[in-house]
Amino acid sequence: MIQYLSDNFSRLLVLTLGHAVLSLVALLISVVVGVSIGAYVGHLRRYSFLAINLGNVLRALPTLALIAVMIALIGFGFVNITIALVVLALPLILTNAYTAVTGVDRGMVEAARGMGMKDLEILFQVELPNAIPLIMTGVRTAWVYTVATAYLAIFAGYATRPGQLGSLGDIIGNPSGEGTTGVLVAAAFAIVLAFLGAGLITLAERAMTPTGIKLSRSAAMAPA
Amino acid sequence: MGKSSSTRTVRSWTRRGALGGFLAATLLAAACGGGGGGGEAAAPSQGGGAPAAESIPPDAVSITATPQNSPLPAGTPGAGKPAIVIGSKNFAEQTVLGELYTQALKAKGYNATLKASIGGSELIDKSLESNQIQMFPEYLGETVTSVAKLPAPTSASDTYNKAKQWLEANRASTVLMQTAFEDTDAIVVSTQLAQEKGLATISDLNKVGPGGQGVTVSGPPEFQNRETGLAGMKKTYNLPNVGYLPAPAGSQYTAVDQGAAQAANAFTTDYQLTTGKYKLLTDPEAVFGYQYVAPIVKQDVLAAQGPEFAATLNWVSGLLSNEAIQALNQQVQGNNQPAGQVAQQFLAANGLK
Repeated sequence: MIQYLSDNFSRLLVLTLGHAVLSLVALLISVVVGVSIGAYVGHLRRYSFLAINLGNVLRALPTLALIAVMIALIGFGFVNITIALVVLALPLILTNAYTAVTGVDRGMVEAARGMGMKDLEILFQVELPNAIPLIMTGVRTAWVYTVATAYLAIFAGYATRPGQLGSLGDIIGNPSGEGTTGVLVAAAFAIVLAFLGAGLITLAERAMTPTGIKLSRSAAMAPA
Repeated sequence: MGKSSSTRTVRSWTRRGALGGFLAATLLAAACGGGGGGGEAAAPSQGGGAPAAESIPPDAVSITATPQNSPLPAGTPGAGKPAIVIGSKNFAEQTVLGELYTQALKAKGYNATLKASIGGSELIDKSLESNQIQMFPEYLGETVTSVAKLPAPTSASDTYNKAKQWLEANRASTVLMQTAFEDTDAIVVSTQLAQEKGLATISDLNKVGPGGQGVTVSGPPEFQNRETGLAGMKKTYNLPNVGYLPAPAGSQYTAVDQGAAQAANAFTTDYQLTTGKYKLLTDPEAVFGYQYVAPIVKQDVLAAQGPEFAATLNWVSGLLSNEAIQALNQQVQGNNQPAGQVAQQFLAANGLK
């Protein structure tokens, strides 16, 4: 295993970078689309049935089957695997964003309205800041799922070649060529990437959470 | 599925007629292809055939079953013989092969059952070794390189002999006669590209660009760095600039259709090759090895079942030309017919009562 690691170290780093880029692009698209829809539907407290069920249908699609279908429809490569990963990550982020926003204390929202705040002001200044911890939980879960699934890039025709980074799937998807050792080492790199990313997301969550919420949380947790 | 051999309905009769007609049509097409070798540009529909894979190599004539040297035994010699379990691997062509051999034995009175979809070469070898199955059809190159882990053989007869020797020494088993078809890896290009650039062999890819520049081969991930795959092909035919596009099994043809790749890693028995859209490039250096099929049987079983047992299996092997297996694959994979039913129709069309 050490032998494989030293023989392939620079290649593993490049593939891990490619893996991270692939996962990050899919995650960013999912966050933008998922949080927007989830938060807005949560704010309206309407159309939730449609949005959530559509999300759950997407979640039920097997990623590999989706890739195979999209090969016929849109072809091989980066776009194919990115769509497949967005379909995986989006529902998680969407449902969490929806649940987070609807879960914000009604009294607080009504108080804001009573103070004369407009709809969008309520969403951005009251609901979203209060919803951040739960939204970020969804983002963190989606990141882990995405990293764990991005190796399927190899089956979508996205692999290392000049001008293309590839993913750890180059190794994980080829056990007969790389051996069990190679698969295990590459999987270990993916796990480290998943943990690192999850850690960074936690840090981002801390930075984004308003001080008031942190205080009220620690007050709630402190022994009476 | 196997039960259907005893229950004939009007519906299966008509289907059988259709398959017979289909087989006749493909055999006719093959005959035309052989006769009209000069006008390849005028007859693109014959460009998809696999002329190299069809002809039996001279060194393998004595070990290959044909309709001439392997007649069907008369009567039901299998009545009262001990039971035998036949295995097959986990993909469509193997299921059809397993059904063909099993149903032929049953029709001759043998007490044969099929365990389909066992797994890959290594796994089915373990099943044979532990006597959970007593027979299975195998691609003999697989036995030599994947199971016995011996160096790649240099000819068809060398492959056969090495497999046979190893099985006799290590598995108390032997091989019967092999089929005229082989299912080996191959490189296909679109018929259009083949005609434009005049491609016939793998080494002709040099004509597309120096060292294969501008050619991307699509294939499953394991194809990329195998010596009996892309890596060996690049070395042997001096094609260092050939690119690679990973594609899940089955979608290599899609990659060529879409232009994402210019060539595809295929199998010589793929039914897609009968469409005429693709041209199979020959492999004169035999990078991809020799993968003729033969039943591997436990030696004590062979002795206990009597000589008509081997004769029945050889009769089946003798029917299996390249056109026949492609037509069978077309029925099962292309038209989604049940393998058992397709096998039954094929055997009946060839005179199994």
